[in-house]
Amino acid sequence: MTTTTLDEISNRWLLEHGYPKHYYIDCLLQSATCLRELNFDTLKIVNTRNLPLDNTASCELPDDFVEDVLVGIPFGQGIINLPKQEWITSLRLHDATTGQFVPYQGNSNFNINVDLANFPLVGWTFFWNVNDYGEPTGKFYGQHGGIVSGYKILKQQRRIQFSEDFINSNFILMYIGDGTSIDNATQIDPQAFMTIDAFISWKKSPNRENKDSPEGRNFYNQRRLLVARLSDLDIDTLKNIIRQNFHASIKN
Amino acid sequence: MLLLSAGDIQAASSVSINEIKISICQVCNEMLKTEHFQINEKMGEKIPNGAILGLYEDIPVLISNGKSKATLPVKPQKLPRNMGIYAIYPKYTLDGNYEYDKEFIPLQMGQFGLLQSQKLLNDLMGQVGYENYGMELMFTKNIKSYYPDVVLAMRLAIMDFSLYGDYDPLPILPEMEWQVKKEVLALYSKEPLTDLLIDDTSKQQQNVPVKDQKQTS
Repeated sequence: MTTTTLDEISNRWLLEHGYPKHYYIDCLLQSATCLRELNFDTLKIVNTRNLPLDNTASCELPDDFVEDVLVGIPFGQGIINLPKQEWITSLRLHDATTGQFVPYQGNSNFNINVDLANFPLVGWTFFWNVNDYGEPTGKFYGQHGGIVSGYKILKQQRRIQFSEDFINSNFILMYIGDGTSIDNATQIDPQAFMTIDAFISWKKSPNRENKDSPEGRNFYNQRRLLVARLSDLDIDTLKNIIRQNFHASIKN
Repeated sequence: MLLLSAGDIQAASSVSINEIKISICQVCNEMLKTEHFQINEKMGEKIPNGAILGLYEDIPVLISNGKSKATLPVKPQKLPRNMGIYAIYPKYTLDGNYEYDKEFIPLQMGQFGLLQSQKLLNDLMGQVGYENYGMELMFTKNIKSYYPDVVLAMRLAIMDFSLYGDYDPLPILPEMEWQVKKEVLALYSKEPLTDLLIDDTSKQQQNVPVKDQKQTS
């Protein structure tokens, strides 16, 4: 069993508690509610989409979008992450004749045309200036790193806006959904079975509004167990993270 | 009938066997419902085990306002969650079988309208549901557009005397038999006894005291 479904969880709950099918819709509704809540912070079912940008470097967000995990551009087999940029405006330009949206013109004050393949290492040349002993000699005074290209999520307009140097390109959006897409409902991690089951029991009890009730505590305990079950960290992974973060440095 | 007739059923009795059958069913329905509320519910039992379910087959499906609908053959008992309508099963093709392990999803009145705002569940995840309004069942889909020959089977919580012949064993619980008799007897106990004087010229009645004479036809 690699995945389970809301239907399976609901029917199982009915069987276990001796309820007939007339209570099925209640269980289905509660299990969907639980799935939505678990998606936000526990299950974190991350959806990945390769989406096209229009001629204004904008794209509509998916229907079940809740929060972005990563926005980047495809680069070979990898993805180059892009940073959020708060300077991007939510206002859009219109063509006065056609009424169509038109792109902003490039602003020469911004250093937009950077080599994104090297992001976020555009400041790596800082370290070229060393003497024969490996000691930094400084210079490049006032230089700074980072780029001004990026994106901004405009939830109120249900779209994502990129800086204008991404016009008509594709981007990768990884996001947490609200659990309301059919894919999510039909592919639930079976480790979440008991958590959803506990949620239904809580919401079917007289204490459904009380999170400190025995039923509520049981749900939160089951959720804690789920978090532990879902954790990917093991000894080898932890060791590798530590080793990867050792860097050779300039002698001083 | 024997009890009502003081041990001897008269041919011209004012109470017929069919009336008694209807009354037995009425008393049974009342007692079954009472038992469900007084025993099952108090014990936390939600499934009305022991209830008498009538099975009705070949119920036609009609189309109304773009959705399917069907009419109940009888009005079942009013149980919590409308469990009187215990289960509805489809038979999709003429030569197919009833899907007795795939019942439709029961909904409460108006729930399907509310579900429309829930994008994950507004199609009931591909299943077919129904709501009950009076004698009608309104389905959430147009089943006939997929299966033009679909008919339904219904299990309804009711003791319906039309389902039982004169010699069929009635599905009355043994512990209820005495109570049913008592209730029915009480119902008809005020019926006057029939006139015993019918035909005193017949040979059978000759030399028999008047009060002991029996009806001859």
